[in-house]
Amino acid sequence: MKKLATISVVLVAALLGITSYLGLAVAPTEQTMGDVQRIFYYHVPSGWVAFLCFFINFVASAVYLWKRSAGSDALAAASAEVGVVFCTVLLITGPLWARPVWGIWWTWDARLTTTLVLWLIYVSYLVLRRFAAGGQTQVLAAAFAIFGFADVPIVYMSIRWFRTQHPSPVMGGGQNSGLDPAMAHVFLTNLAAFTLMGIVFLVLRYKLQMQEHALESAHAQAALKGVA
Amino acid sequence: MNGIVFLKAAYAVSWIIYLGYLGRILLRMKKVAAEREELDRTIPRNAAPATLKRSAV
Amino acid sequence: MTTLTVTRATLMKDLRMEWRSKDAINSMLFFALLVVVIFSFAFNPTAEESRQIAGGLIWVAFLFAAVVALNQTWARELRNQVLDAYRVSPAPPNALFLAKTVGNFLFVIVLECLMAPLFVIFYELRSVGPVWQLIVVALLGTWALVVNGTFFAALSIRTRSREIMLPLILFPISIPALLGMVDATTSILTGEASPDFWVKMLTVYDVVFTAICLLLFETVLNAE
Repeated sequence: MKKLATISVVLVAALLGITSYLGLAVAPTEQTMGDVQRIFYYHVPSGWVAFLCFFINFVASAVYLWKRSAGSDALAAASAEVGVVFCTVLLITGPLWARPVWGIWWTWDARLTTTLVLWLIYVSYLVLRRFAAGGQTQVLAAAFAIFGFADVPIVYMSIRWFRTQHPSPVMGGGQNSGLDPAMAHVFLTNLAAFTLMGIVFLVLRYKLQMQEHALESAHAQAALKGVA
Repeated sequence: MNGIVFLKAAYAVSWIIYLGYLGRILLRMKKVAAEREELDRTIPRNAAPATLKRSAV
Repeated sequence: MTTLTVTRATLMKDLRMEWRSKDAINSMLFFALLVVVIFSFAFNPTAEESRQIAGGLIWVAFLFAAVVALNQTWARELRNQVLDAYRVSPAPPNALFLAKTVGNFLFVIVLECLMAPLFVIFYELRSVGPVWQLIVVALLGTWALVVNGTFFAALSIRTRSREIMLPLILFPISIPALLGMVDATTSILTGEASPDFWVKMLTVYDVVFTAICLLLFETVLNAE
């Protein structure tokens, strides 16, 4: 356990360090936005990991409803939490980037609003897991996860349409359009590093979930034995 | 110049959230391990597992 | 014992009980009136402005009224272990779900019929677009709220703090439906745009989520 803790801390810190260095020192300065643009090297990879986690949650929940295995439920719980963490970073770094560059903290365009709604849905998933009583938690949460994920494309399309009707400031047009090769290199490296970091978090959180589950069962077993 | 403040803030927030979350997971794992150890210590003292016996009727 | 007969039987039972006690309807009625009055104090628009914002206000008011109705959907079934009896019976679970959803739908529609004239009076609303379109949007939108709401109410009865749990898990999922209802209503009231896309989107939303609810309800009902 000690070893696992030290390895993971070192690994995560190293990944954060490398990505920061790449993003802050190695990447060339952007033409129009200046140095603030460097937030991009943290912002987009965080988002990518978050959405990946939410997708994993959807698949794990579906598998749980089908197979009812402890592993799939643990993965669903872990991926939802890790996803929310990365999505939180996404939602904080976004406005921090937007304010100096476009002058506004936030706008209700399709992408931002969908991200916010996604965050809201998975936070409510976590709240549901916390507040559900006893053995039904996993089933209820898994059912809710299906709803949440099915809702996302609908949310996106709705707001896209809403915004063609009621246009408002658009931010960050195409970060990937015409990326200078030096920047693309840093971006892709950071993307890989963040994915790796996400996997580390996911594996740890999964283990924790399984351990807590095993502990609960062990308590129940001990109580039964005590009643001999 | 103003932008640099936001840049630093963004990186700082990200570090704090990621490392903080990592710390939280590790703390919880430590707690679970400690509880598990304590539970395992008490088990040998308990009676053998109860078995269901058919009543002699 | 087909789904349809059980649905109808359960629905009639609920309606009859409600008619006899008039519990929910009375409280919701008063709640609806209060909401309209309070909103009138909060927003005091001219006739021109009111057409722009009425869509949003009306649907927020309907949403809160719906939550009040939804919260007590399953309360009656929990008393005297009626829900357990239902789980043990051979009756199809979807019938129970449909009966509850249709019952809630009717309640909320009645509420809307009572609140709408109040809104018209207090906000001096006059619709530029055809009123029948407003009715279509109201029907689709109410079903969207109620179908998910009934399902999530069933989810939240097994949680602590169930009254706050329901809006907590219902609102995020309902955002696209709410957006559709509000924008469609505003488009019709102001006559500035066509609500066609929203009507289509609400229909898709209703179909998708009704299907998901029907698929998953049995699992949730039997969750132990």
